[in-house]
Amino acid sequence: MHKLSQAGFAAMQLVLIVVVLVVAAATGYFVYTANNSVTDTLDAGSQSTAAPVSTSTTESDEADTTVPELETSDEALQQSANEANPVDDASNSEFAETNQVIAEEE
Amino acid sequence: MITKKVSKKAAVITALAVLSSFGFNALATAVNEQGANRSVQRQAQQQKALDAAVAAGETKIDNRLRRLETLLDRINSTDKLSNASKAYLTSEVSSTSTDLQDLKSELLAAESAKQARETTKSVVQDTRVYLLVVKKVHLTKLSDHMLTKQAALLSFAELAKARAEATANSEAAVAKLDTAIANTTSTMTATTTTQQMIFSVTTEQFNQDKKVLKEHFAKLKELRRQNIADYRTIVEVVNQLR
Repeated sequence: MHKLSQAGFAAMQLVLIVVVLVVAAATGYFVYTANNSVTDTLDAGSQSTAAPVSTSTTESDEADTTVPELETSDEALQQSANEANPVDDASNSEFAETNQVIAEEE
Repeated sequence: MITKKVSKKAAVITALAVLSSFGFNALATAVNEQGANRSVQRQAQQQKALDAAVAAGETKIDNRLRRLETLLDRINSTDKLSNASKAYLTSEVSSTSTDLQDLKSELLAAESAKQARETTKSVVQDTRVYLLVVKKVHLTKLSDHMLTKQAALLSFAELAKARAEATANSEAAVAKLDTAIANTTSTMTATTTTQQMIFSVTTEQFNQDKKVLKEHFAKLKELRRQNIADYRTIVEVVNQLR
């Protein structure tokens, strides 16, 4: 058995201090991240500033929203067509708004 | 001589004992004081944590209550909702507000930070204001809008059919318009069914299946695509009538 010199003891103490500091830092970081995760879960959905989402319809929806012009002098038909148009501004706005609300994630 | 030595030893031992006793007493007092201080500090920390947890929970509840109040105002003032939808949504929003008020009372009565945090968790998980109630209101408004447009589409198809029937050699056009009428009637039924399904989504169901409202929205989009296709058909048929 070799006796440790004073320098050896000092080195061991330094190593022990470093180990303790590393463990303490790792534990602190773990607790901090776990706490943040819980806070995020509790906050879920409470912010209106959710991840940015498409406010419009998807590409495939846009492809479907083209309708031909009605070519007639019949006013009753023309008015009826206007009222029935499923891609008028009001409808597009309703879908875009709902699309945005529905896309808000947890 | 011996007596002198003994008494000297006794004196030294007694002195050491007395000194030790003072030392122990001082140490014990210090430890007790430290313990009492720690207990006071712990209580203060617990109270601080409780206050913070209650404040955080209260903010969440108040934000949700404000949002529900705004929703209720919009539901009552909009002309885009049917009376039945208004009645359903008003009841849903009011009931959620009552649940939140109950949770607020529970939160304010919490005796520990842990209890307060649990109540705050319930605010999010048991009421689902943002992820369920708000979305249900929007989907209901959208489905009501769709039903209005579908009724207009049906009228348009029937008017176009009347014009086609008054035109010579228009059997093929009338057949196309009959199909459009049948499709539109079918989408109206499906939209009403989807709306009922949206109404019936509960918090428990939503917690089990977070995609349920997305699926209903996808169904409404699919029905809209059918309406667009039928509208296109009707316009093309009318444009070809001579």
